[in-house]
Amino acid sequence: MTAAHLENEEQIAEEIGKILAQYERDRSRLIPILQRVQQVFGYLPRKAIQEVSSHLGMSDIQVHGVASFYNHFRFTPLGKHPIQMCMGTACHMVGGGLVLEALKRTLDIEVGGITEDGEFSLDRVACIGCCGLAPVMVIGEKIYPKMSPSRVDEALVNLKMTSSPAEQEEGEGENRSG
Amino acid sequence: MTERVKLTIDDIPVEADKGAKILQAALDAGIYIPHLCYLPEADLPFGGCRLCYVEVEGRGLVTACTQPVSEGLVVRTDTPGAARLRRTAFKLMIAYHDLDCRKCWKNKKCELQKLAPKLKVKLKTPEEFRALPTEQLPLDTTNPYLRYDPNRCVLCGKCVQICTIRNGKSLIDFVNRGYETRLALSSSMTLIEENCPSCGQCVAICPTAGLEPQSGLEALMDRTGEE
Ligand code: FES
Ligand code: FES
Repeated sequence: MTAAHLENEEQIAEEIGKILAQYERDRSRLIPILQRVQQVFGYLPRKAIQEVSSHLGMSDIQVHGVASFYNHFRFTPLGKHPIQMCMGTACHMVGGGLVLEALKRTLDIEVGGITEDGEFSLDRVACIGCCGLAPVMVIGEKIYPKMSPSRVDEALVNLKMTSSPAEQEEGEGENRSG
Repeated sequence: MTERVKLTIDDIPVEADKGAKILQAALDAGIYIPHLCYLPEADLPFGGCRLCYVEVEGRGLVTACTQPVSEGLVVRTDTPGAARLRRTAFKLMIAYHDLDCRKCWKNKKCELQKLAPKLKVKLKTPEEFRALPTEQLPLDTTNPYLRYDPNRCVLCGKCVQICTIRNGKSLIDFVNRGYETRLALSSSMTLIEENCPSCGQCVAICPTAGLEPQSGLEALMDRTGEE
């Protein structure tokens, strides 16, 4: 384990301590606590699960069990560009799965994972409400309509190059109408 | 003294404590109802295996381990409806189970092998599930005292129940949801086995080869064999 990593864990523990101070030591508070932790960190770090479990007198695996039941909770951080691939009925029917496969292959990660450089994370979601544009991919706030496997590369390369905030906002404006 | 109630199970008159569960009343009276996840010492019935279906007049098809007895209750264990539900539950249980029994260390001591003939189900992957993909899942070897084999676990939850009773909080629990549901050991998160008292109760109670004792717990293997 590297020193940097340790420091990180300590920081996490400190942050969690602040959160936990606001909650009673009562198992019924578990979900609200986890929600808060995820709000702060964007995911549930392993350290957080351990801290939460000892706060509530539960075992870490019990807390993990509850959290892993809900799609809402994630155990890996979000990438700088979080990718969501829609696997709702409409998107599934017109090849959403192929796009998802292409994403996995291109990024070399599984669903729920994050690339090594922290740029992209990949998740699947169920219907984001614009089935007319299926298959739909969302990166950050930007919607990519009528996706195909061959357009995956193009989308990702563009994002890597144009990481300046101004350009991103522009992109958002164009595409958010959905 | 607790109040007693009278009921009949398969026309046999039975007496039981008020509030007792049908399954316990039947077993006490020497009437067999298939069951797997039932643990008498648990506060609440788990009701997960669905092998204990019976038909109760006025209540329909119910799980015997969750339903309390009451005065004048008429229970039948042998109706076609109940038998069918029990069989379906069992088939689902073995649908993904590694059924290479001859190579399994629990062969001949496995609860599934005892249940199958009683439920009149063959211990091979049921016809209707053959087409489903079967992948071998990795074993959890993080706990020095025991090993978890998801391919042979039927998710009856007995280890979770007994660990909760024994330790106040379970060091083994269900994770994920639906098809992905497994058990996971606390040691897979902590890495340091600081909590597990290695009491071996989870291994002893496991009806299948889901939990395998490792060195130090071997004595328990004999205990599981005796049951
Ligand atoms: S199914 Fe993908 S947007 Fe509705
Ligand atoms: S024994 Fe009743 S559901 Fe398992």
